Amino acid sequence: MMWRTYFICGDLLACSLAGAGTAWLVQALIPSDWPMIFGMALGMVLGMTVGTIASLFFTPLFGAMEVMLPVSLSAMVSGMWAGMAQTGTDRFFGLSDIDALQGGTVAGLACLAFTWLLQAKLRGNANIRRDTQ
Amino acid sequence: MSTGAQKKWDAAARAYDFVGAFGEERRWRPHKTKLFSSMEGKILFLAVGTGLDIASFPPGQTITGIDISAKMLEKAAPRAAAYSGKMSLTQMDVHEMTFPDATFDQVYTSCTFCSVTDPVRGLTALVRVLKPGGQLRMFEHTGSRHFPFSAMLNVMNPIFRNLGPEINRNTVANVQAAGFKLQKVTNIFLDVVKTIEATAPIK
Repeated sequence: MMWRTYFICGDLLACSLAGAGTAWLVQALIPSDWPMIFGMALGMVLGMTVGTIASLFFTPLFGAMEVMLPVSLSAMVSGMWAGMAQTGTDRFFGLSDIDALQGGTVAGLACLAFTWLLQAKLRGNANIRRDTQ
Repeated sequence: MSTGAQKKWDAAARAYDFVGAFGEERRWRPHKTKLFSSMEGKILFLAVGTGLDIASFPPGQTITGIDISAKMLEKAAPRAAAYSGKMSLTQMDVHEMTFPDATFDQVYTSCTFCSVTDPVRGLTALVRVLKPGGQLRMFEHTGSRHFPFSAMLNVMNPIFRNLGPEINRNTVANVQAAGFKLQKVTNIFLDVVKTIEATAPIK
């Protein structure tokens, strides 16, 4: 039970930090007057990079695939959102630090929730003919 | 012996326990313990690594552990010596195993076929060393069929391949391609981390 709580807290922490950190980095690096499509694309690439690095950092503490996949997804989605918000909301000021951190955290936690829902669906015996990779 | 793979895993041996001994092992140990609890007869444990899995073995078994990396086996030696059964360690490549045909009753793997250079050839070699109808029990991570994880694993694979394992392999299909009869696949995390149970063909 203690370790289950530890890993749930670890997942929450890792995904929220990856999401928040990526969104903050994206709003700091991408100019607000860029076209939104470029903001989103670069945000996604930055997110994938941050997600991979964050996964390597969190793996010794919280596990391998169970951390790597939701953290990478959190960073990628957060990066895309921040890239769009930075270039689409206000062409002069862009996204504030606080907005980026809050939005990135929400994106990270939403990605973790998606992962947990898919996990609830897939866990257990797989259909050998259809569901196996 | 594949010297490229040997060098890669010799280099990885230094940091292997740092990366895997705490979070990863605590996540996976209950599932590994359950899988390994069916150990009986003459057992081959493939890619024993630094021996982290030995703590999950049931006591009193006779186990032969092999690994391609001498550095990994150096780290595994004290863990194998502390095991409450008979455990021997040998440096060997799964593609070039020197065991006679039909030597083992069971073969166990743990995160092995993400790293074997030619997985179908490696699995075919296991068919040879297993007795007819012998059991293959695997704890493996694979690719995924579910978006977006399927795409992410494919994109990230070139990076991880250089660090150590491949992360998008279709190990279940490889098991079948090698001639094993699939019995059961159990998803542990998504459809990525799983246990695979199969039997060698009865000739």
